[in-house]
Amino acid sequence: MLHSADLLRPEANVAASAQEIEALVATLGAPPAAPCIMPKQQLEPARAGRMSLLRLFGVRAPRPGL
Amino acid sequence: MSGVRRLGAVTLASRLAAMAISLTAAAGAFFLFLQFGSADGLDSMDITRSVLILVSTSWLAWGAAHAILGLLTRARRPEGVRPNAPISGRTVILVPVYNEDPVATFSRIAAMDASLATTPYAGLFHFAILSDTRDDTIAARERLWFLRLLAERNGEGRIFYRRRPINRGRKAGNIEDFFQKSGGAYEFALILDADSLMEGDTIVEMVRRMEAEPRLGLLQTLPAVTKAKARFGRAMQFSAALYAPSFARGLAMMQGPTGPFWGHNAMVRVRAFVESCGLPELSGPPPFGGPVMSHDYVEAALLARAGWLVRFDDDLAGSYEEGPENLVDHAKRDRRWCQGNLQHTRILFAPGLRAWNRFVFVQGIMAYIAPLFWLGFILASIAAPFFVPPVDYFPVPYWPFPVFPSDETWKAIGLAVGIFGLLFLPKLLIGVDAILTGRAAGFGGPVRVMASTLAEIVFSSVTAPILMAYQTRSVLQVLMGRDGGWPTNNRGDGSMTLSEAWMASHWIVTWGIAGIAATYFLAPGLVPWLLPVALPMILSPLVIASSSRASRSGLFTAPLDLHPTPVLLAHEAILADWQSIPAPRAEAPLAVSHA
Repeated sequence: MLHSADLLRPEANVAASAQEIEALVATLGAPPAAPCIMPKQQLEPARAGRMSLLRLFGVRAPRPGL
Repeated sequence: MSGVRRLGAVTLASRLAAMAISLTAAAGAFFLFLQFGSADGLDSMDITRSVLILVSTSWLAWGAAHAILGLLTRARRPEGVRPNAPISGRTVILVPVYNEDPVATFSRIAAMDASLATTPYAGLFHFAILSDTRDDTIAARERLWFLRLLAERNGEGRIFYRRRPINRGRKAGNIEDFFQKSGGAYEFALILDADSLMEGDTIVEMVRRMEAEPRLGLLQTLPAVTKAKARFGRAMQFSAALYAPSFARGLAMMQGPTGPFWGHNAMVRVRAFVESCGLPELSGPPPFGGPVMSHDYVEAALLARAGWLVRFDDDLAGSYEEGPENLVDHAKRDRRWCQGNLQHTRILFAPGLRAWNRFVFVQGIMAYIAPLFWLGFILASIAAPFFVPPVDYFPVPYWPFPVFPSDETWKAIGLAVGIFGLLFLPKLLIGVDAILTGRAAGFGGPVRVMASTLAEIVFSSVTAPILMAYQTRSVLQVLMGRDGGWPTNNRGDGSMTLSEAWMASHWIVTWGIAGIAATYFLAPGLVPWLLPVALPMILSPLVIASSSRASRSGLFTAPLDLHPTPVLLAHEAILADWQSIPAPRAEAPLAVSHA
């Protein structure tokens, strides 16, 4: 099993299997877990009947949390 | 954030001036051509051609107006940002990769990390390599080179790598996936491309500006093109270095709070981005439905819709990217952008967008359909002789002498001169401005900058009909519902043989020969007018192959050739070092084990 200290010893990588390297990279490479909600935005006009110049250029779309 | 913001006087005046220039030039071209066309009697084809000229000229003049406005002012540091003010925001530098060469990409990360280490703020920055690579062999290499990157930069806990099993949503989905899992750890994110490179000082300054303006949601830089070797690549690099700052300055004057996002070399405020930029898939199949392809313009529009400032600071130096080395790679990239921009027709009427953002979408669409207007004009001109009414030499009753139609050829020549002026004058003015301001020194001096400018004008005139052909084909493919997919970017020297160039362009040769033959039989008088378009098309394999070869000329010298900056030099050194040593581990067995 590789340890992060093995990074400095190239021979450790030479001897490692692809699976060991994949596991090591998954451990060392994992970004910090700090989830964020990213709500989907409305891009297409909801219904043609409700579209108006006011909606197009004036009224802002609803924004979550604001 | 407030949804209402007033435009500044400069922004409003710039937009009005650009529109005035565009409309005046278009109206002039329209009436001039109408007079020329109606000299032998007004017919429907004269009106059609005049309208096509009107649209095409307005588009050309709009581009020229950017340059003219850009020459009137100089890039300035925004007000309210204290030089050297300390920063505290935690920032992640995102490097999305998709089947890229990890040696080239990760060596750029090593160079940027080294550059950041020379600032007092290195501890605030993390890197995250976001792999969407689908090729298992390349993915195996990515893992090995990631370990080398960690070891060489002592990057454990600062430099991250993850590979998505499914690349849903392409690049935008890749970034979104990161924010959903890790976005809460950071205040800012610098979004890069695989070929991006930035100076540490520039990155720190971007954070400083984001912190100085809490309403700022996105800050875009103007990346300079670097490391071009081929003739085509060097011409593009030169034009990006000499012309782009003036065009970009014009754009910066007009943008107001609704600036652009070009997808990379830009910093976002994570909170603003996650709240405003979750992109849904559009209904229906690609090319008009499915994932949003040119997501950057849409994300800029969504940030502005939510009340965030989107700013392009053209005074920020130290931002770099690489460009395509040959015309075919350029056309491939353009095919993707074409589909992305035409897809924006679906988003044009999204609720609540700012008027300028809608206009930006229209500009993007126009950039791709404009060649169709020129093509329509050429076809209409070939067909025009069949629509001419019979000449009436005795229009006045009982008048014994014939009245000959007036010769309006000079108006056509004047119009052609005007149109070429719109194309070339901004470039020449920028060249002259570079001499007057001393900027020419970076391009090898006044003589070389003017020689390069003239050579670039000739080069772009020769390649324009070929690019027009590729663009026309792209637009027609998209309109016929063909999805271009998500091809991998070709990087490297880009050299093409004549037979490769022929394979990529034989249909352009056919179009060129057919076009000039049809003109010869239908409207022989137009042959000399069409030759500047048809000849480059007929010779396109030669043009493509020859322009893909390495340049050995002193022409197209750019400032970064003469004075490479520290991060460029560091990247060169690291890349040379990494390429000179064996890969971290034999790669073939890994590929087999992953097959």
